[in-house]
Order: sequence, then structure tokens, then C-alpha cells
Amino acid sequence: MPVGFMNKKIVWLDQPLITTAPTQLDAAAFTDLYRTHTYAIFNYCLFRVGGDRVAAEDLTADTFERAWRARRRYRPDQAAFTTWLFAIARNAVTDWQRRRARRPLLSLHPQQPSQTPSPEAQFEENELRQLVQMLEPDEQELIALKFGAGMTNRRIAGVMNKSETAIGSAVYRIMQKLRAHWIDKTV
Amino acid sequence: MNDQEKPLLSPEFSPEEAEIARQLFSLRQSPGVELQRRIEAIPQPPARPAGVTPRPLLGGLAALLVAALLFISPPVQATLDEVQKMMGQIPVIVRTVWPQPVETVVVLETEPMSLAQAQAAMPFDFALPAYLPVGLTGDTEHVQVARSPVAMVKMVWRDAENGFVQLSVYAAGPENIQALVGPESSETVQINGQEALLVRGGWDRQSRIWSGQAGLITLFWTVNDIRYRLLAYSEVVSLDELVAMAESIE
Repeated sequence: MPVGFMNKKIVWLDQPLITTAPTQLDAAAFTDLYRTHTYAIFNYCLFRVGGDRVAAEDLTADTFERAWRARRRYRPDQAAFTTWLFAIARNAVTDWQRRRARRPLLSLHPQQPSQTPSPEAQFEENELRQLVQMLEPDEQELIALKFGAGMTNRRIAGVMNKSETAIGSAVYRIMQKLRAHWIDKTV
Repeated sequence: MNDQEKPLLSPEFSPEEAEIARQLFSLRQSPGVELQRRIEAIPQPPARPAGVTPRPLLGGLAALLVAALLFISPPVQATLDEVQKMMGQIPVIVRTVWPQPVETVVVLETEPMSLAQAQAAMPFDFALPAYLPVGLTGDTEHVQVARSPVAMVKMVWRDAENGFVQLSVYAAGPENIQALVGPESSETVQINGQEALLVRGGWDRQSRIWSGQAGLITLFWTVNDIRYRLLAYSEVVSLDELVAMAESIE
């Protein structure tokens, strides 16, 4: 191996240079990003607030406002934009839950009328939402990311800072739990 | 990823669980137009109070200060001394900052071609991973090839969100093919029972300073005088998956 660093040429193994400095999202980039992610964030929030559409819309708007304010702190080489955005959404939901705990709602059924047309479908939807609400908070979170935001187990693992294997196992376990409750309700 | 696209249901779901999953997906709704308008209105140019120095300027001043410390102060200069060692049969140079002058580093120039063309053009036979983590797809019509000063072929697999895994295969041999890495970034792992080099982190494009927190994981190993390098961001594939890919190259 050569001994003098300055006297030799290194053929570097083509390691890509990366960007670790904060990226400043401009308004145009932000518009592209919200168009891409609004549907997933809104439905994640919708699942987390038990189908309360008004609350889900407020939380979605809150998430994007927070993201815009924090855009200089976004580090693309530390996390995918999706991971970063969902971390903000999770915080927004947690804050909302804390506020709601301090000021309980008068209504026991805060859900707004959904876009489901028939009474039967509405009934089934409510049953399913109630089942999800019976799950543990971590399990509700996972269901919201999986079926609300439509994320893959790998992406969920990034958001929840767990291994993909752990997420896969948890999804399997929760689905079995939901199935057992679902059968109880329908027999 | 198209967020409105339904992800594939896990194959391990029973029919009843798949039905519950289908119904859970059906609970999704479309956000209203009013919400779209609210979000569209969010980006506003931030008002800067008078007398506040813009952050980019502060960053530039900080960079100048760091540069002065690095290249003027002898004690600091001494910390830049490189360490050379062999790890996982790979010559490794460990440095805190990118070398100066930059001419001492040769970054390979590549040209695009198909995989079949690359296999014909390379002076060595190489193989691709038999195992690919779920969601990754490769484009065999577009690989990158370098011919000089060392023959190299590079292929990339991407997921739906543009995350990637990159494999580079080099004709090994010359001692001047080395890994240039930051301090405390390297360890050895086993690939098919053989020692390999694992590096965590990467060089920052702007500052040329090593960042160990970048989330980049890279494996280097040698098989039959062919040198392989496989890299990915840890949120795209785990280290276990990367090792599994490496071990599936026969």
C-alpha cells in the first residue's frame, strides 16, 4: 500500500457525495409535496380521530403548516420526506389528543356523516371504526399508517422507528385481533 | 408513491383478514376542496426582522471559520492525519475531511449502456443478486460502466419512492483502489463466511466533511478478485437485507 498520501492517486470506490445540509423547500416544491401527500396525511388523521372528518382536515392543515415552518430543519439524507412529514403528523395528532383530553367533547359520537351511501354500509363502517378504536394506541397508530395512509411495512418501520419485521408481525397480530372481534360482533 | 393507490395486501392474510383489510381501506375518504385551498395558502415568504442576519450568510461565515481552523491551526491540522488499514480485505483510508488537493482522488467517469452490453464490455465476469428486497426493481437497460483507470459496472434498483440500492462491481487487484471513509465509520461483517467491510455514513457534498449520521450503509467485499460494493440508505433496506443481497450474488 502506498505510504505518502499526497504522493499517490486514490481510485475511490465511487462513493456518492451526499447532501447533509438542511434543504430549504421553496413554495413550488412545497406545493408539489402537499399535492403528493395530502391524501395520505388526511386519511392517516381520519383514522386517528375515529372518522371525525372536520378534525382530520384541521390536523392535515396543521401538519402542513408545521412542515412549512420547519422546512429548514428537514434533512433529506437522514429521512425520506414521507418519514419526516408523518413524524410531524403524528405529533399534531398527539397534541390534538392531549387538547381533547383536557376539554372532553360533549358529543359521544363525533363522527361526521361520511361519503358512504347506504345505511348498511354506514353501519358496517361505524362497526369497523369502533373496532379500531378498541385497539391499543400503538395498534391504532399502525392501522392508521397501514390502511389510512396506505404505507408499506418498510415505510411504517421508518416512521415508527422499528424494524420492518416487527411491523409485519404487529400487523399480522392486529389483523387476527380485529378478525376475532369482527366474528364476535357478527355471530 | 401514489398515495391513492391501494397497497398490495399481505399474502399471509387469511380470507377473513383480507376482507377486514379491504373494508379498512374503504374507510378512506377524499380530502375536501376547502382543505386543498387551506394548504395551498400556507407557503408565505417569511418576514425577516430588521437587523437579523440571513441564515445562509451565517452558515457561510461559520464555514469560513471552520476552514480557517482546519487549514491554519497546526494542532487541528494534525488531527486530519489519515489512517490507513485493511478491513475485510479492502484497503481503507480514514480521514475526517476530504483530501486536499482534490486531484489525489480519482472519481470514476462512467457511461451508460445495457446490462448485456456491460457484461460484454467488462474484462471480468460478474453476477447480480439473486435476492432483492420486496419493492425494489432494476432497469437492466441502463447500467453505468467505467473503463479506466479501473473497469467498473454499476447497477441501481429503486423502490416506489425513489429510494435506491446501488451495486458496483470492480476489477480488483491494484492497491490504489481504496475506500475513503470517515473516522469510526467502519467495521467488519461476514458475507458468506468471508470478512467484508461495512461503512456507515458518507461525505457531504458541500463541506466535504464526513457525516456519520447520513443513514447511508455500504458493504465492500472481494470474491475471486472481483470487488463488490453495495450501498443503500438504511430506511430503504435494512443492513440484514443488504447482507442478504450481497450473499445472494453467486
